[in-house]
Amino acid sequence: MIGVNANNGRKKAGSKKTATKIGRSTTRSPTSSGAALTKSSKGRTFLRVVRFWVVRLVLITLVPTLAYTVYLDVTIRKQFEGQKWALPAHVYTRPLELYLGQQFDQALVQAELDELGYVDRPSLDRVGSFKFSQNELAIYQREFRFWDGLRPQQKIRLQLNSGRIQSISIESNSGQLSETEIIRLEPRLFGSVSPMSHEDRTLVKLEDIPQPLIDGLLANEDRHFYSHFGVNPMGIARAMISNMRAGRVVQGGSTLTQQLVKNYYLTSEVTLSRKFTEMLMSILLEFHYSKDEILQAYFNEVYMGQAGNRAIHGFGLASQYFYGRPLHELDLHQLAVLIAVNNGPSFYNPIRHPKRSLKRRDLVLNTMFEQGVIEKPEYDQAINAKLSISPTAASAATLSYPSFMGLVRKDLQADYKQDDLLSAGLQIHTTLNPRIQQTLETAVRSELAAIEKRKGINGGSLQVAAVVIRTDNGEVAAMLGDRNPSFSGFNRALNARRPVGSLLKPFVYLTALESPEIYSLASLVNDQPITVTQNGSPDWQPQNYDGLAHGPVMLIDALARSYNLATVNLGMELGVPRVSNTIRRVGYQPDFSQLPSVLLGAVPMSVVEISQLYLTLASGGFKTPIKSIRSVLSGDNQPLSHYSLDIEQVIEPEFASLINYALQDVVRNGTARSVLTGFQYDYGLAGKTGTTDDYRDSWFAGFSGNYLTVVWVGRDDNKSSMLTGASGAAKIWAKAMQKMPLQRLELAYNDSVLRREVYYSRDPLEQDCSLSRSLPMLVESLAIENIPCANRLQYDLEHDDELQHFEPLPGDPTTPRTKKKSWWERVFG
Amino acid sequence: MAKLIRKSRPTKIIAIGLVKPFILITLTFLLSACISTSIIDVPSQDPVEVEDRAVVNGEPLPLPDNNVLTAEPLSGDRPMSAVVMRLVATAGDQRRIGNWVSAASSLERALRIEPRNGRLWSRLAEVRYDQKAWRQAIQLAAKSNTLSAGNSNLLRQNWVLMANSYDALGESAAAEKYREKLTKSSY
Repeated sequence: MIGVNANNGRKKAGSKKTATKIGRSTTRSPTSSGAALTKSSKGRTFLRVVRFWVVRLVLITLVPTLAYTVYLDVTIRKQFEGQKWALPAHVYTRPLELYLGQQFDQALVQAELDELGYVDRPSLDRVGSFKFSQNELAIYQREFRFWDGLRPQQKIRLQLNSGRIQSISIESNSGQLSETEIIRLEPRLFGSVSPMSHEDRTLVKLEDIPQPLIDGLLANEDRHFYSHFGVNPMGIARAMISNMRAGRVVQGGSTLTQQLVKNYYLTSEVTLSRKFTEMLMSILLEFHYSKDEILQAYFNEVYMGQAGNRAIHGFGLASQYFYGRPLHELDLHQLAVLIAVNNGPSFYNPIRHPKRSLKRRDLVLNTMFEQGVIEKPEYDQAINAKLSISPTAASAATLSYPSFMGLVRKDLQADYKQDDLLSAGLQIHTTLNPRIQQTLETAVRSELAAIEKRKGINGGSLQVAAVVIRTDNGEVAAMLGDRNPSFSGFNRALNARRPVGSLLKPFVYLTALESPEIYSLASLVNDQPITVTQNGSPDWQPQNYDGLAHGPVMLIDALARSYNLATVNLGMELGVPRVSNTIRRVGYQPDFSQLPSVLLGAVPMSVVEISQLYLTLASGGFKTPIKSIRSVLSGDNQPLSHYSLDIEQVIEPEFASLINYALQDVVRNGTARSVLTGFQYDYGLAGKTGTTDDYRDSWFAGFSGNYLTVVWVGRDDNKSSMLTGASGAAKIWAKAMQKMPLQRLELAYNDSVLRREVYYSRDPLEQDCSLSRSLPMLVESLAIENIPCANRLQYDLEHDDELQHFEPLPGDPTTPRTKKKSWWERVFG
Repeated sequence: MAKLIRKSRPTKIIAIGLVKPFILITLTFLLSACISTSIIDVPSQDPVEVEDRAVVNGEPLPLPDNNVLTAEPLSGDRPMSAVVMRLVATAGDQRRIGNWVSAASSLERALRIEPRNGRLWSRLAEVRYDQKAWRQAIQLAAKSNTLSAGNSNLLRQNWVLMANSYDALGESAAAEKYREKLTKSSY
């Protein structure tokens, strides 16, 4: 576009020059011919010379003018045809499904309907409305093209009984009644893939544009649209006169065609040459295309406002943006607002300048009434209507979930060409669950501030990344890459790689449990100091967070309390390569260090990467690729691809059950105990805390039967966040999970898993074996674990205040650091 | 740092290698070797729930009722919920006319409602089998198996499908393994 402008400038400069030459030659020639009367022979030669030059000059002028016209013609046609079809890929949320037997959450359904722009009305008299009554929810649904077919306009009625959906009836537009088991609300369009221009639009056809909008627009902007040839000289003259009278620009003489051309080359430049080009292009446009084609292009092209970095183009998208509803559902007064907005997209923006916008709307309605476009009763009703920008719809439209969009883009780029994404009008149906996303955002907003306050950390200094994934199919329900949910810059969930610390421990223990003839959950592992000698590196002496060594502890307890020494001892016994293999097998692709520090999580990963590992655990040992897209439809509604459920068993189910049991114990009895506070029910939650050296990174990964949530909290400058996994990320995790529709995690034990009583002693010396607990155990482990009591000890958590070790004291001398630390010391304390 | 401050606390190191317990251990180890076979022969059908409960402020949290999703029980041939039956029927129709992608999509919809319904995973495995996506068929059948403990009909059905898929892949040893399971379980 810049290139085109530059060219225009040059060409115009050229044509001006030739124009002055013509002037000079024509004024000169009469005097020259006068002289020719006396000296005829000389004069004849002179005339020939003049004629020669005149012809040449005319040719010199005409050819460029013609060429320029042709050039403009090609340009404007290309633009017109191009814009007619260039539609960015549109991205939709998941559809909400409502079905028999489902527990009915009115607030949730209401929020969904509000965001979809459905209006609560006393009767179901028009599409896009709903009505709640005692035991019934009735919705007049819009038409929507789902991946598996068209859902026509229809009325549905849900009968509710003791909080559940008891029956669902459908009334088609022809009045036919039927019963069904399941219905869907349509998904919400929440974004588009248009990384270059950020221009977004939804295409509306002329026949779908309400007549009052067309009439109103013409009455206000271009009364002679159907009679002029692209330019309206009378209009220009009128405008010039009133502008001269007023001494400033009060009226524009531009036709709609000119406005459309201006929109194609959006620049604020107002020069005569620009105006001339615009007129010429308008005339050319009218020459090639019908009035209806131009009008339709106008409705789809004009700039209507800005939402973040997304430019709202066209009335269709503007209607969605301001009212959350399609154009044909709008009332007259709302259409008038759009006409007002079109006149000055930022000046008359009804969200930012409601008063100004209302005044302009009334002017629009006045003009419509004066021009006879609307009758008095319609006018009266509209002029008295409030400026009804739905606050939910307005904010919903700005909810563009940039973090999740980042994931969608990444997934799309793997399968689609950039050109198709930008112009083919693809419809992308994603896995985003706006209710879960909202829950996550709310939890982050409230908890992050609370954590900062509690810890005396500067407000706003902490950052966060989080993801919520369905455990059965890997669908990402929600994602945050910044504490500000509408921030569209650096996406930490996808791109910030931080050491995951103790989040890797379960994979050390899983590797052990996969040798059931050697290890069980009850096996003793040594929590005692260990020195790891490495070629080329200084010796490594890891420490526990509490600085203590706890001696022989049961494997399940070592994980529950996140003991570093026990983990490193166990890991060295197994061998680092075996543990690394497990990490790769459960879903981590990139290369990573093979040093023993891997055992304590010296592997930088993004939230999404580590969640892939936990997803494998959460789905019972089946590696399930994380996905953000369910299906893609082409611009003309043909199904292009369906991202099917794809699983691969990488952990035998019995081992998955054992490690998940241990992770449940982390929550029931271990470092994550604090997350249980606030839960109403026992969802069998499983999870793991993670903390890195100097409390730089606070991690928590945990799951119920249906959702896995992974949270990271830390600082962008990589300084200490003063938080452990339990005091930071786990708080946000708990807050979010408490508000989600959870299902209990049931471990799928098969016949090879038994329950065994394992005995403990209170006193290490007496071996009283007075305590016991029941643990799941594999048949193969029975031989090694039939040892009453052994050296197993009960740690009294209440007095042993394990959890307190994970809470750094305010004012701890953690930050000043004089001695340079070795690489692992920098990762773990 | 916190850990340095707390260094002064008494460290709990347990004396290992005491002679008395060691003898005891060895004895019980030998004993257990004798009795363990009888335990193996009687696998527990009913996972115990003791102690596996979350406790807050000394009170165990109550178990949730089926608060959102009507989940299928772990095992047994209880009737499916109406909505899942409907989606399964739809998938069946789609499968019959060879529209496998849609059939899979309908079953995935059902799975979002009842993710622990082993029969749904098995149906999905069948669709993949129809599509000659043998590996996926095997994986989905394996998933179904993990959720179908005690439902011998479904287990057998999955084993047949797995054996056939392995045959199709030309992996006869693996196929044989599942055929063996079939014959064993028929007693």
